[in-house]
Amino acid sequence: MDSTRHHNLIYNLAISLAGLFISINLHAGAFTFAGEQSVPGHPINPDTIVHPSNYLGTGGNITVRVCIDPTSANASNMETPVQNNINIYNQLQPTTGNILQGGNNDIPSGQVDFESIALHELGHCIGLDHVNASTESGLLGNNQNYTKTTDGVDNVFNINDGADNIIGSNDDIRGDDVNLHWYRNLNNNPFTIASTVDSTTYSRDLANLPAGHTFAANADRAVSTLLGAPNTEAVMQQGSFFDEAQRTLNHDDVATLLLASSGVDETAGNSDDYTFTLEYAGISSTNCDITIDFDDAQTGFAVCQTGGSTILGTDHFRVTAANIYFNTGFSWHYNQQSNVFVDADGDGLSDDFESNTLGTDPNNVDTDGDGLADGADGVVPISLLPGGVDNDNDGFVDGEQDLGTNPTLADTDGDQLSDGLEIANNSDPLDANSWPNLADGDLAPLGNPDGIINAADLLIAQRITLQQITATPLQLAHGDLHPVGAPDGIINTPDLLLLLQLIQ
Amino acid sequence: MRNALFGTKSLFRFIVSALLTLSIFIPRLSHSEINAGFLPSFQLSNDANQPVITYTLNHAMLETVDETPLLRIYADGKVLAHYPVYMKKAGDYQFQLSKPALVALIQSLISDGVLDFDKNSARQYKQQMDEQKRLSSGTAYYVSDSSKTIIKINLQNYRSSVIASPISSLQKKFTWDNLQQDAKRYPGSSALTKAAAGAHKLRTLLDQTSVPSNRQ
Repeated sequence: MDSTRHHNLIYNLAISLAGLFISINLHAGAFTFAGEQSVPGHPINPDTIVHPSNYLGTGGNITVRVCIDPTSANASNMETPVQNNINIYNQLQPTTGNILQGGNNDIPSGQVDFESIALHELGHCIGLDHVNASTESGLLGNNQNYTKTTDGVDNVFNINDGADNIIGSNDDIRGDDVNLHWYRNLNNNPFTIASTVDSTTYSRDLANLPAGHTFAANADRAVSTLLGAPNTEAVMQQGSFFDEAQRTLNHDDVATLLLASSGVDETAGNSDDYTFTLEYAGISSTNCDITIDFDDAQTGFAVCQTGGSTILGTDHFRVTAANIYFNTGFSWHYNQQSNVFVDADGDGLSDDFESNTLGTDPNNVDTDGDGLADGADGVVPISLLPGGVDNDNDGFVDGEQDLGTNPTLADTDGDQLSDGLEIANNSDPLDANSWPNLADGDLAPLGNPDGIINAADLLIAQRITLQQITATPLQLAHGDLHPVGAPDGIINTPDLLLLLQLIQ
Repeated sequence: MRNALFGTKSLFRFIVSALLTLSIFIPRLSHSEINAGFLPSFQLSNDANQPVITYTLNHAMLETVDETPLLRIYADGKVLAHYPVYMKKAGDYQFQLSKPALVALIQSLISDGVLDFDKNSARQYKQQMDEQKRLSSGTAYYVSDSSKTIIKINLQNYRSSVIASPISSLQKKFTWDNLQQDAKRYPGSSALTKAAAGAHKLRTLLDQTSVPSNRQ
């Protein structure tokens, strides 16, 4: 027994010393692995920065392939949300107001948004950690919203929300807790972003805080209200509600990824800088850097499991293996609305929106053939749709999205005059009692004028005059000739006489 | 009535023998109690107000007041199960365990080491394994959002027939993040693998629920 204990003591000492040794070689931020406490007292260096798979320390573009496990339940349901996530990470566009709750989103009541949770887990799988203390801290309830730290040399999290009583804000008092969150030096505001993101503009060291600040603020939703960007939260903040969508990145998410992209020297503009592209590899098990799956044995809800290794002996890691798992026991909502903007016909509308919402042809700029573009004005040049309507003479085809007309219906108001014709002749395509003044006498064949003025047109005008048929807006547009230049809205004998003159 | 009485006596004998065996595994039973001849023996309590076993699974990524599926097993064998509104089985369920089945379950959890689980030792083992791998291969491992298994066992709700007061040591609150996953990742920790097996039995019981008594 004693010898075993002695052996354990020696073993623990050896591990501790070894941990100390490796700590000296490392350094970096709110990235995965940073500050991880493998052996008490010997965390991985808190300065550690983690990069996506395939970054080897040299610059350029790296590609990270994202697969959906072919054996997974819900594989086909996951495709659109996963592609949306990939698009979001590739765009790296910071947004505010990215929390949509209740009636502000498309999630049926009582369901959990798969796309939002997947966006968070995908962030972990490319190196991002939680911006808040989260459950792994052991803190409970709202205290988990304090900024990500280690517990310091006293092995206790020191938490005090300061004068503003907002947890996670810039006046928190955290004792000897070691900050793991990279913040913007200029203002410590995670709802803004610097034009250049690297270690000259962002810090983990609290010595660079703006005057009067006591701790790094994190992009928690309560802090967002405090800083004037309500309903905003970092995707990497742990914790999401059901019936809640959070499908776009916040400034802090983008900044942390850009910080990593400044490379192992942590300085933007050098040869080790990189960009990364997430590539959707489909429902596949081939050459996957990140695989997404439903597996109840791996998670009770949702998780990203990653492995990482150091880069070039520095304190930087890259992800070497990553898997995301979801549990099947939840009522997941799978958003099927693509955010990937593919516009095959160039009318400014995404193919997905045209196919699934408008019902227009994604390969035809003028689906209903009325001379108006399916989308908005200012997108389709008149050269792309010869004969198209350009009533404002801006060189672009007028668009149905501006006019409020139906892009799948040539005659929205049903007055037998096409929307384009009405727009070109300054009448209201949404009002059947509004028609243009064409005044050319072209009435025949009935309901489908042929562009020729002859006796057939006279016969129709005569039947209208004799009240044998009622004039339609189309017939009024063509056949109401009198008084010249200011027709009176009826077809009668004076119109007949004028029409006769046209024929002669 | 006779059958019930017979059943109670059989159950009593079974529990006595089981707990006599198990008592050597329960560290919080003091030597003084044993030496004084107080052999812990129990019978099922008539008081069914307090659960004997509670099992919950808290998910780190979900923020809601109703954040966990929940299983409560009472001394009379009544089982209440709850699934939150955002789960496929949303609703409240109730069913009955027979007394032998309940005793067998408790015995099984004790055998699985849930009552004497040493969290610090298990955590230390896990840390050592992680550190060994980090040093030998230069690799690190990360798990993002945990699911915390919480098992509360309260055998005070079994009334002692030999000693007057309940034995407080027969209570345990077991908690562990990602229990099933860690049991697989650290197979050398029998404490983790056994506890995971115990938790799995409770999860299986929870998942046996079918028709909700009060679907939300």
